[in-house]
Amino acid sequence: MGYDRRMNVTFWGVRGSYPVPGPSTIKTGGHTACVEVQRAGGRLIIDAGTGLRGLGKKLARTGDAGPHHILLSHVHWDHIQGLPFFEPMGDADASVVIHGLPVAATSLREVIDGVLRPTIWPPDVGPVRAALSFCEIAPGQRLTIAGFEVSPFTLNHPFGAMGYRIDCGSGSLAYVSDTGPFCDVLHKQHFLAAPEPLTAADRRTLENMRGDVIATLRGVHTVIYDTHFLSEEYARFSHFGHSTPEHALEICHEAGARRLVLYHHAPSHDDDLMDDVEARYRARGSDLAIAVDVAREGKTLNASDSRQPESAS
Amino acid sequence: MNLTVWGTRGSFAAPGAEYVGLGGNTTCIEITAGAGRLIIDLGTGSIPLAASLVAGAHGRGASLSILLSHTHIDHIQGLPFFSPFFIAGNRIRILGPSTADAPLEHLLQQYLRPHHSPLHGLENLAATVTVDEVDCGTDLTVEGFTVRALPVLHGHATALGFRISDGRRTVAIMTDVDGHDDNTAQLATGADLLIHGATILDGAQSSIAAAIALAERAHVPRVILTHFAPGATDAAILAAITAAAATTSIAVSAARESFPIPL
Repeated sequence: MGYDRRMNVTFWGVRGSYPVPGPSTIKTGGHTACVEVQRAGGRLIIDAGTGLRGLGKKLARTGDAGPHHILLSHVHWDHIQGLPFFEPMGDADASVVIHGLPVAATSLREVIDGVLRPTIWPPDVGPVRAALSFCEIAPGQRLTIAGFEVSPFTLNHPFGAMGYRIDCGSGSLAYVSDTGPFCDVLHKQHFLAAPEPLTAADRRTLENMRGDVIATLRGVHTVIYDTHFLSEEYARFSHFGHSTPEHALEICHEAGARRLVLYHHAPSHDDDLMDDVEARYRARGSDLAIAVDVAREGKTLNASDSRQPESAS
Repeated sequence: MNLTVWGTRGSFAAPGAEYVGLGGNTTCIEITAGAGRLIIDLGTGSIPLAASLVAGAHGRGASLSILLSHTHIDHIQGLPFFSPFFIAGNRIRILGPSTADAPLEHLLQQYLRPHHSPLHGLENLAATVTVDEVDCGTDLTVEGFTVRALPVLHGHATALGFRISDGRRTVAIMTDVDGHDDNTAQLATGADLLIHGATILDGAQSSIAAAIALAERAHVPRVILTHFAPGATDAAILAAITAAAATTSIAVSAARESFPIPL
């Protein structure tokens, strides 16, 4: 049959919070969250940070009209800022489908195509000409999108966020960003100036969330994880809703994942620091039989299980 | 008077090796004279500036004034990360345009709303923050500077241009301007320096040619260009400016991120 069962993952944006230009981010990349997942004949985009602009230029060059499916983890600015600059949005022949939590949809419509549009986006953002639709999805659903099996699950982040497991052929991938660990703080929908003490009910909610994440990730090949903070930084900012490489390794180990990709790097983490981080956590990962990589802009990884046949032919 | 451009990009930040010479941060300009300081716009360039402020008096509590030309994202993107906002005791005044759409404070609140920012709103900033709509066309005294703001042509948005003087030197700043009129002439006339946007590098719509023409009409001896398009490489910008500079006796150059400009 010659059917290619591989799944490839390309990083277009690897930063959290805001884009970081300059000489110290050239190797790692300075754009915010955006990942492209490809199989033979299909594509998913996860998150629409500033990295999405570059992906849109590639798609426009190849004349791909879509439908372009974008899964959003949540709608904080660093995950949606690239959307108005996504070239297919201005193409009357293209279609763009945005999948995300219901809590985000109304607000996102106002920002992307509604009342807030002229006050926020500069004039080089042209009108939306593509067929644009919003598809509300919820944790626990099992969906088929662009030929991928997609399983969304709940994460621990201010105002709510969703992670995704994506399966296709011999490929399996989990996107776990943005999330705090499932212990110190339970994020809800109010502002947190500091960590709030957990109630017994909060602890149960976190334990259940953690259990669901591990069950969903069971046996997955590659995990892309929000490791915004190093542990010494996390100690000061535990209420910001981001994790450390230690938290990520613990979850990956319990789920039996093969590879951890450190992702959503803090803006202050320059190329030298990321090289150190990669060396440090590769050593820790090897003790647990988990390969560890730092997500770097422009790099492509294969998320397929090589123990299974690459091709059904 | 000293001036530092902390963000030289318009529209969208430009990480990458092709942009490190002039810089890839979105727009922010700092002006200092004696003890006075003004910050113009809060693009991502304001974040490295913020780090230097917090290392000084704004780490302990001090006053600060910020002029906003308008609320496009490349001018307010740094707001949630501008660290003086998180220091109790800082008193920060934001001065910006009145628009037909909504009060300025409401627009900034929309940018921080809980869906899009974990800050949820200006009220959660530790500093005391006030937002005022600027009275256009009158001379205001802000942090010891004389400031005049006037609306300039910018698509269908209201963007402000500024004329700022410390009593000895005067700079005219218009980063987002799509054409020239009486307001831009009023801002620029007799200034020592024109800071002008350069979104379009060449052709009939060239922003560089428009900046030089305004400087010639308004008797401004020096032009510094900034607010470059996100895809314009260092090489392309410098080539376009060199070509345009050869056509005039006015000193024309490109802003370089974080390099101080004495005036």
